[in-house]
Amino acid sequence: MRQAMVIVKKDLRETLRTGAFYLYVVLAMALMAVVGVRALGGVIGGHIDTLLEQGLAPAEVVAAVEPLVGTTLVMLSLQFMMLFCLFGNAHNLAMEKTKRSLESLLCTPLSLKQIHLGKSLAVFLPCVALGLSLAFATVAGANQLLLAPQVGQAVMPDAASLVATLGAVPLIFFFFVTMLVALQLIITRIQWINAVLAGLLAAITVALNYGLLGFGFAPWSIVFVSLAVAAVLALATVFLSRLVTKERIVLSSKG
Amino acid sequence: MVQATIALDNVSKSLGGRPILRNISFVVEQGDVFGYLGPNGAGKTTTIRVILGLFPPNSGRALILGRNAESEEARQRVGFVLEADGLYESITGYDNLDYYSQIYGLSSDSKGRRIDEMLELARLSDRAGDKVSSYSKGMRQRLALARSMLHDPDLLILDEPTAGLDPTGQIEVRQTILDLAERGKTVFLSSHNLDEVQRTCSHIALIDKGEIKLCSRVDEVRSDGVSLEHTYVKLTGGGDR
Repeated sequence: MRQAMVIVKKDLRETLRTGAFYLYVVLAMALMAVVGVRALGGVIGGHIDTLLEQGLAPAEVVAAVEPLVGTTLVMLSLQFMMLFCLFGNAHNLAMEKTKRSLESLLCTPLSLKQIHLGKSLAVFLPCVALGLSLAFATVAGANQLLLAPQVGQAVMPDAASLVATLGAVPLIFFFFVTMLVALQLIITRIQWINAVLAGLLAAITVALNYGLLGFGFAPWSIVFVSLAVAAVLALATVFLSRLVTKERIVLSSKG
Repeated sequence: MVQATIALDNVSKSLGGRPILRNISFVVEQGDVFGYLGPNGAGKTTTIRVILGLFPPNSGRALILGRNAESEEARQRVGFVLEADGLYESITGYDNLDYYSQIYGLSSDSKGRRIDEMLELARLSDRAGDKVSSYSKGMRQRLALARSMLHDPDLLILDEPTAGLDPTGQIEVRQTILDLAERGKTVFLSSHNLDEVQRTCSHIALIDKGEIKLCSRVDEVRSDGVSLEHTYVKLTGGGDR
């Protein structure tokens, strides 16, 4: 783990020195403002209006929309993480292959597992930090600007959604990243990786949505569905990791 | 009995079904400066990748200091400069060395001193804080050489170490190699430059079409007044693959 963290520190230092990283932060914040706040304000705000028109007390309205706010928080945090990952720092490894610095790293005493873990954490940690920060900021912003004026108080996400956001979603994202890194290590053409990942992203979203529909949005279902998706991704990661060999990495670095 | 630094024993390697190395065997002893010659496509890079543990042989054995070439213990004792220098361009020269010193597990007490020594050796002390992307080819090559010696390895594997260097830089690298050999280090040098090999190497092996055509002391090759160039052309036909 200590050696993997050496890779993480160096990669983070590189990421923070790239202008593209800050561009993606700005883009994500714009997306947060436009899509996040609008979605929360529009959809949930509309729902609040309907409930108030039905004569429910503000406290009952708040209790009714808390799971909705929570589900939005879960989906937003995952999407922000994926956004940073796919458009932010996920391509650093592909660049390392092209410049052949990865081949040098493979000649050191580091094991393949350490390199795989280090490269995965270098993508995972900043994306999780930024994804969670932006998702919570979106919910806070929507509350401040749109929801609180309607019901007279902030609408907090329910407990199950908070557990899913802080526990299960990072777990899904971790295995997503380890799969991404494994694919980048052994696949030559980056277009193929992008296609595979776009498909994977769609599959995760569909799995989460269908999973939630299947459970009928029962309390804590979001946690169980998210953990199930994480488990499937973990199995896929284990399978992919077996295909990662130094020989494959070097041969796929030829471009 | 003195342990061989590199021992390849009947190593064969195929890539994509195509045989690249065919029953390669040679031994490099401690303190040797071993020149590895051959035309393009002969199998030099594949041999280096087998020695560095990147490619496991299909058959035969590759041992470094008595250990399997793929083992972490073997790689801890090897330094290398590959054909592509593998430096990180967006960080400084100092940070590149710092990164590798941590990977090789240098203690925090000795790390700074060792990096400074290597930067001094590479004549890059005054540019240590600059990004590698601003370095010339020669500076990059010197930094890569400094990186390869950070952890004081027993064996140094150099793939075309003077490529792209000006004559002064070439002389300095050659002198560094000879100094290392004097200190008992073993150097495995892959090169196209026959003159460089004659000046620096004690032993040579010549590979062509994946087979070792010659493995000998340099002075033995030249003992009959036959030049290395003549032997090279005679054994390889002189052409690239």
